Amino acid sequence: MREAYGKIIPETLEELIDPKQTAVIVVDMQNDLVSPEGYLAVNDGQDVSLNRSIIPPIQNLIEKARAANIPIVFVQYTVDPEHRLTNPAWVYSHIRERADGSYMTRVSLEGCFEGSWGWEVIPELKPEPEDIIIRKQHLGAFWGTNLNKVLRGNGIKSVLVTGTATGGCVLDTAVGAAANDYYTLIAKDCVAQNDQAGHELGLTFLMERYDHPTSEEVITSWALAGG
Amino acid sequence: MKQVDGRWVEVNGIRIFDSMAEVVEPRHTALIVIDMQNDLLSPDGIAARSGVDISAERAIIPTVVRLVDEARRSGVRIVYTQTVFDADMSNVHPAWIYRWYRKRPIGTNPMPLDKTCIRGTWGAEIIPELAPEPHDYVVEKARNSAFVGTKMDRVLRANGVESVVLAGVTTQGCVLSSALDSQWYDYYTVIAKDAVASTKPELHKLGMEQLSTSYHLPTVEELAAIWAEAPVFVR
Repeated sequence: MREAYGKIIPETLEELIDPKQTAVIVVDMQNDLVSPEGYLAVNDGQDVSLNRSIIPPIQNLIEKARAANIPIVFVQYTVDPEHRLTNPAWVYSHIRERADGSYMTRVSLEGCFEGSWGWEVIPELKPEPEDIIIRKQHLGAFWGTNLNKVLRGNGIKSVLVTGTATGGCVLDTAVGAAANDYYTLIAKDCVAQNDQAGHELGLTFLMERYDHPTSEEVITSWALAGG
Repeated sequence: MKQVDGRWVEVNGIRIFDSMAEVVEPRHTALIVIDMQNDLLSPDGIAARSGVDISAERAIIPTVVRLVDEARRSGVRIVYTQTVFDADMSNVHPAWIYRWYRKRPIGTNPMPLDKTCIRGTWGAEIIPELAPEPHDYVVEKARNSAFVGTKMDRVLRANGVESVVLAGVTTQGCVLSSALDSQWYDYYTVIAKDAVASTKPELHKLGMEQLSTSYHLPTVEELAAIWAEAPVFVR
């Protein structure tokens, strides 16, 4: 720790992700986005192997987090089947043509319907009763949800972001965490995007702005804190 | 929800805008000019005095001036953001200080946080080329986003704003963060491609690439042409 302007500022990774004040956020690891039978694989024809590649490191990370009593937040992108929470500007951003002639996936309009199998967190990462579940209607997990309230209520000062997609919901959640005054970290090997170029662009941006330890470095740090 | 030929046209009985001209129609559009302040852009500001190369950011001043003029003429609501830190750092969170300095010694960034955009100083003011007019809004902020912890959303809703055009500095920082939040707050969001900048060209490029994955990036010329054709909205 060091002092600046009368405030105490962490310096080391151990201080930044002190188990007493850290939460792990698992973004959008849902069947429609990650399962071979989900929307992205079936409706968009995406190869979901990159999204699936982060399942083992996230499993390992959250197992160690549970052992250290670190809260785990599962974020679910959630579409109301009646679209009562769908905003015109949100639809516009999906149906507009991009400069390169492509479109955004419509999974966020036509998948992840609340209560459906596709909306559920993948079985490999099945949330436990003590985990925190956040349902969101946008890319970032902070706006329009009670995530901020839940984190503050649990004394959380640092968030470690994992999940999909690197350049979308992960990036927006990280920017949102920083905007809300959390120490913001990315578990570098626990974020993915099926589109590798999009992943690399998003990760370059995230690494430029936020701390980005590997899950192994995080686990080692927690072990030191516990030992 | 209504679709025509597989294309969404309506949700909750509200029509979805279908073209850039509709999105940025003056009556429901705000231009948000981000952090064009003396400390960041003036040759006498703290950035330049700390050895930061401000030439890329200064280069957009004429373009932003043009955009503001066109917006004002058309009746687009103009909102400036102004980053303001209190001299005693009372509105600064430790996590912000951490990120400002990262591993560097306190007091170097190269700009020292406690000398940058301090309340009541000349450095915190909007640059004279873009001096706000009496009917413009100035929204104070103390983090990246123009929305989190500010009165921005209330100002926009009070003015019937549905769409936001973003300009200013820095591309990968406050502009990108504000773009994400503008989208979260359910505004149609576009970025004026040639009216945003960063001190570092490689970070500007990175920010633009990331923004282009989610947003339209019209040029000032394109926006001016649309506004020239649109009925002037008298505020």
